[in-house]
Amino acid sequence: MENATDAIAAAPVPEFEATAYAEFSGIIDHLWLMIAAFLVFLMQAGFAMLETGTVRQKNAKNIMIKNVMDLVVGAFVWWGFGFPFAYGGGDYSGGPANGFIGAQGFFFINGYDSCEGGHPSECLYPIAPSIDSFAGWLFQWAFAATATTIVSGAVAERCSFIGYLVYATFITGFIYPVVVHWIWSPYGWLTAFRDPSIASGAWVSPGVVDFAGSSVVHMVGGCTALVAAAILGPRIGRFDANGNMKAFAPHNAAFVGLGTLILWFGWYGFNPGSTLALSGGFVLLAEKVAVGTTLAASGGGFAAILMCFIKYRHLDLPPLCNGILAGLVAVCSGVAVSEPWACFVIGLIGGLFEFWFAIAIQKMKIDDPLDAAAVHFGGGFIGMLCGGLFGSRINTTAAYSEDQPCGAFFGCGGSQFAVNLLAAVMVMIWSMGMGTIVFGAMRLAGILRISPEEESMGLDVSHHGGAAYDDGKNHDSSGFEK
Amino acid sequence: MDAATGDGARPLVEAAQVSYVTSDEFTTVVDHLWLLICAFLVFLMQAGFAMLEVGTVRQKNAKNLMIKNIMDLAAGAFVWWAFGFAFAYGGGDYSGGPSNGFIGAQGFFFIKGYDACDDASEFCLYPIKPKYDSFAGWLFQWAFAATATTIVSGAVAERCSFLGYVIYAVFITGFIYPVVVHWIWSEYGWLSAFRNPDAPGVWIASGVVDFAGSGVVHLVGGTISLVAAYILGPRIGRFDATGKVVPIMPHNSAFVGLGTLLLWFGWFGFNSGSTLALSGGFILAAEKVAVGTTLAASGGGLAGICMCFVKDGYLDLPALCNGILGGLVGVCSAVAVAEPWACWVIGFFAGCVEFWFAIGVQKLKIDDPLDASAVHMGCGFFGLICGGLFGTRLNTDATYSADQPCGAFFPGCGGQQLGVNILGGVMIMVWCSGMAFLVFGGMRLAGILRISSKQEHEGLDVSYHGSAAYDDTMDGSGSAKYRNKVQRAMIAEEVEPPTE
Repeated sequence: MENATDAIAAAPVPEFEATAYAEFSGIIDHLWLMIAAFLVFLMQAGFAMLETGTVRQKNAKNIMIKNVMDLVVGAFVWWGFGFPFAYGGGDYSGGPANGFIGAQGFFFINGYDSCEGGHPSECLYPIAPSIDSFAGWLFQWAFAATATTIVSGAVAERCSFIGYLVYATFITGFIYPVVVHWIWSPYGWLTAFRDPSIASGAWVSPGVVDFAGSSVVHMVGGCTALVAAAILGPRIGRFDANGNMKAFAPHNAAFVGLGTLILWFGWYGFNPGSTLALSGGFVLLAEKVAVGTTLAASGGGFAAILMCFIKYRHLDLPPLCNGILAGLVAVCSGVAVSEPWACFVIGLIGGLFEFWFAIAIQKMKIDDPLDAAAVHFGGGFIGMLCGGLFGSRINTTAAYSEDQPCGAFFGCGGSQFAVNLLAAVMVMIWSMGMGTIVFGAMRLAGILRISPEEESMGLDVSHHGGAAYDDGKNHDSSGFEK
Repeated sequence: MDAATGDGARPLVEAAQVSYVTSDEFTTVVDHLWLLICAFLVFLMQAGFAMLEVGTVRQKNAKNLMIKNIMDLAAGAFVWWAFGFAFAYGGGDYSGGPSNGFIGAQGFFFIKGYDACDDASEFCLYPIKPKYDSFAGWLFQWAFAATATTIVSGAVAERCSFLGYVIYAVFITGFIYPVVVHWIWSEYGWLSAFRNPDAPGVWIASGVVDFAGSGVVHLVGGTISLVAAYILGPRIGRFDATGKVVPIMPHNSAFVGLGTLLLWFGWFGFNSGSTLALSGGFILAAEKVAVGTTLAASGGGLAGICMCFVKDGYLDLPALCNGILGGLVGVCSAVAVAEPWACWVIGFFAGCVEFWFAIGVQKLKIDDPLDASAVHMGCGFFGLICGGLFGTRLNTDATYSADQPCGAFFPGCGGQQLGVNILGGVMIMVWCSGMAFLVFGGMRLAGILRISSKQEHEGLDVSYHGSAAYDDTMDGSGSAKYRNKVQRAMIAEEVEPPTE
């Protein structure tokens, strides 16, 4: 054989119709985003079952209504202004984007980012990749819905209908999108995806490693949840005169388990989908992320089992489920940069932290029916720290870039840890601050909480026309109401 | 990542030995994979509908509804394989001539349906014609057929006999539905937008725009539902002596919510999958359809909330869920030709239509336990109308063709598409109600349609299926001889059920 260059020159040119790479990657990457979006959507069903099973029977229908409703309201709000605030480029005066909030593409107007003519009414589809495709919008909507619905767990069984509508609109439409803009848009002041050619203003280099949203999704939801639960006040009878907490058992353990499993299932869209692509080698990353996700769930579960036996001498279902969920939440930040063994450790740490954080919240006399703050704020915060500790050099280069520092445990110094910690603190301040304003104002206006009579009757009967379940026993044998 | 060159030590000559993927293989894999995934999603809607139905009916019939939902999948698969698909998409007729525009006749039990290996053998490995005539296409279409059929179970719930159920399910999956598919979705149909120019017989140009089946699936199921509920008669006690409707509470609201969310999830396959391909730019259409689907659900849900507050002053779960489902049904026709904002509008007004149609059905003294006719007939027909109103020129070009008219609301498009869509809707209603009168009327005359009033009072679970759905034995033993306490008490005291 002659030298290698001659060999290539002599190689036969294929004489068949080949698929252009651009078509291949366009299809594969957008299909992946769609599949992942569908999976994250299904997590809403999982969370609905988890919540419904956890609350007392007299509020089961209410919590189901709230879960379904925040999808309905959230889609409208995300279309209207949530997505533009999160990923929008400019502002309407034609000026450049800033690092705090976006302003482009409200109701998709002017959001079809250019066919050659540039006029939106002549374009069919947005053509910028990833975020700015319809598949990207759908995927991001599913994430927004996740952040919002977390809070419903903390306000369950005593929040008014109008209070729920108001805060769901605020979270999906403002509180969450702003954080997305900071950390995931190309313009954000904390983003790892900063594009200097279009972004302006301050930037904390090298940006946050929060791959699937430990802070963007889970801390936003969890911190708002904590504030909401604190301002709303505990359920009647939850704390006795001495401040001891009374246990309210889940009314349906099967729903709790089913919900957790559906959430775990959907998480395979939530984490691996965050590669936003399969081509260009990203399929290998997506698989590795799926494995890391699995091991984190396992680690969180182990932590729960361990802690439960130490403290209570037996294992109950809600703590096991919360441990798993906390592990899944914690790994979101670093799952793409951490080796599988590290994902297990992160899950374990997340589960341990969640267990004790939940107890601490109870000791503060805050009533959080689903332990939403412990799982999402606690798990999310710890996850952010781990995201700055466990990243290996090779993984970070593959998932982010060479310029992104790896984790402090891997010889890259403390800069990633510091940026992640800063981001976690900023997200906490923002979410708790905004949560305080929204929930505080509603409480002052007297529209946040239902009355004690309604609470003791249960929201199903007082607000929604009747009980969630009807076994026919209280009526005549035909089951109709008298 | 640069796989081709590897590290510096490996010879570059390997790059010349890389093989390429042909366009054919790539598109086949991707398009068929898409059909498969979406078939699985539409299948899962059966679980959603099962949960919705089970949760909505009274506890004493919960097991029966679950049995019926599972059974119509099993029976439907057989029937669709045997003749349903052949009637729907079959090309020829057995004499070797081409198909007519009314019904197909090719590929019964897959025989002669593997369209051409080289020697026209009876037994080829895989069908080689694209889209419908692949196994993935069959699966996808089966999932749709199962959807149309199961809609009717909601309207006949709690009082339909087992035999009656089996008979009508076979008729719908095997005949009533496939004929409509043939008209509107096959290459030969007299109302099809996909008409093969060589197809014989009359054709209403340019065919109906019914992308994912507002008409073909939902109007078919909903129309049959209304007729079935009417012929079957209301549940005992549903209308009081003055003719007012007596409200019935779902026995399990959690199932109602879960079922609705599973249906919404599966709808992503139902609508987006109807591109039938991802290659050739259809991926972009599929995503846009997914967004339109989401916004329609949102609009429908908001309509449900608004209407419920306007009428009753509070929100109950079934109204919210039916609004969402009404929006999803309503958008099926137009979702590929309408812009996202239009999909939201369609969803909202479909939700309003659903709400008032359901009340109208009750005022007619027809008992429809799941409001199946409101959701599927009302919103299905409304959806067809929208399919003729909201299509933009650009979107219609991309998902149909330049010859397909766009929607009447847009300047320069005219009313042709609206006219054809309305004609299609009317013909579907005529066909389905006529066939339903024959089938259900025939069964009622034969006295095999409805269960006895004693069975209705006991509940179908105990009277038909051996035991109650739930175990509320005092000791939690679940032993089969301990039936539901109410039934035990009735049996022990030999209580006579109230007369009608």
